[in-house]
Amino acid sequence: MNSANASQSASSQRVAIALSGLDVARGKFLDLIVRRVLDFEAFSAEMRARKDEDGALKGISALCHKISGVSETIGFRRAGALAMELELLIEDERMGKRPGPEIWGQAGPLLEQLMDELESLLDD
Amino acid sequence: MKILAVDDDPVFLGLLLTMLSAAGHSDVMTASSGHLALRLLDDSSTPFDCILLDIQMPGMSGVELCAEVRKRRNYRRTPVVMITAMSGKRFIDDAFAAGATDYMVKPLDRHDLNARMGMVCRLQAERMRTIALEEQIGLANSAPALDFGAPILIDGVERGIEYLALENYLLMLGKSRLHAVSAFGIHVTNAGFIFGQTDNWNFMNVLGDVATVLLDALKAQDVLLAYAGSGYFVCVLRSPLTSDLEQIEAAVGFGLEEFNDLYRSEHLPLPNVRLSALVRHSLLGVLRPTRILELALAMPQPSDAPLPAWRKLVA
Repeated sequence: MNSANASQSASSQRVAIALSGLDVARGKFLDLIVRRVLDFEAFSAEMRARKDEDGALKGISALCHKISGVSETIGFRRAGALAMELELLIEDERMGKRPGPEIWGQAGPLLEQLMDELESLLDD
Repeated sequence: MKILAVDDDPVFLGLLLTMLSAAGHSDVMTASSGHLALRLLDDSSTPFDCILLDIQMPGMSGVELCAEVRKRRNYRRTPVVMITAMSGKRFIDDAFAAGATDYMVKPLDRHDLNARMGMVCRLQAERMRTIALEEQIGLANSAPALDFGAPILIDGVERGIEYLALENYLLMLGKSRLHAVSAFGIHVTNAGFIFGQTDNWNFMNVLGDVATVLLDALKAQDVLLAYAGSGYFVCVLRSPLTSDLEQIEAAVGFGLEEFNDLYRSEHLPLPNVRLSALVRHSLLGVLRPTRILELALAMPQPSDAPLPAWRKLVA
């Protein structure tokens, strides 16, 4: 095999590794969706009951952080964008820019959209 | 290259492994927490060449982990790249102050990852050459190999970071934060003479003395300090300077006087320190972010001092 062919073969092999790795990551992400949606539901219930609001917002923000960190790379761009928007919104509250209940007025509907988007990924 | 990747999210770790593997890096170990990462570092028979750390982790954060990594002698100079989501950019200042070399933003972009890892490989290759040289020289005098004109990490100085890391820090700042940054240069005018009169360990100690006294004089300020080579330091201020530079220069002079007996016993002159004028980024317009370092360092110097690499570029 000449060097050009060897280099092309190594490059094709890397592309194949990347594609199969992306499939694995996508599979792991989809496997976790049900658990994440249930966690979101639990935090959302705490917010509605006005029980440990700070802990609930922190929990939602941490989950959003994980979702936004990988979604775009594995092809779930809208889920990633919604998660990032929600995380940044909650961070505003945590940095003292706005009070929790006021944030929830915006964050609640956004969280609903995110959960819908995640569930639609399962349907697809 | 042996890599350690630390993140509490298994999906992200899997993705990172895939992207690193596709870029030709297959010797990668992972840890899901700071404590597990430290155990891997301490138990590993051969040291890791590069560490990738997520900033926002429960328990020990990536910034705290980076500081712990730097306390380990084997890992003082190992490239540490922080990984953060956009929302975590506010932690980056602390990460660089804790000893990070560079940063990457989630979601990962293949080209960005390849560029960062390319930089890490070059840095690591350079370090391996230095270590090999140190081992050779170590047989004779157990001193580290030093090139007078090259940047050095001054060990054990809080807020003292590598010159490359300082450049990466400036490149990371957005326009609004960059606007608030200012910098000044610090020239040890007799550094060349001291370098010629003593061994490399003692020269490193002299630089450490200057850095310690300087940061002590600046303790009320939010600063990062790096040694650029050839007797030059550069100090980046992240908030407005509250004292006069002349006062700071005088305070450094007084601080170094306290080492007088020690230097006399070593037959060395005290370091003679001069500060440049303050350069404000807000006055530089659209110049590239790292230009402020070059301008802060571009002050008159004795004609016999060799030009460090960055000055050759400016000249």
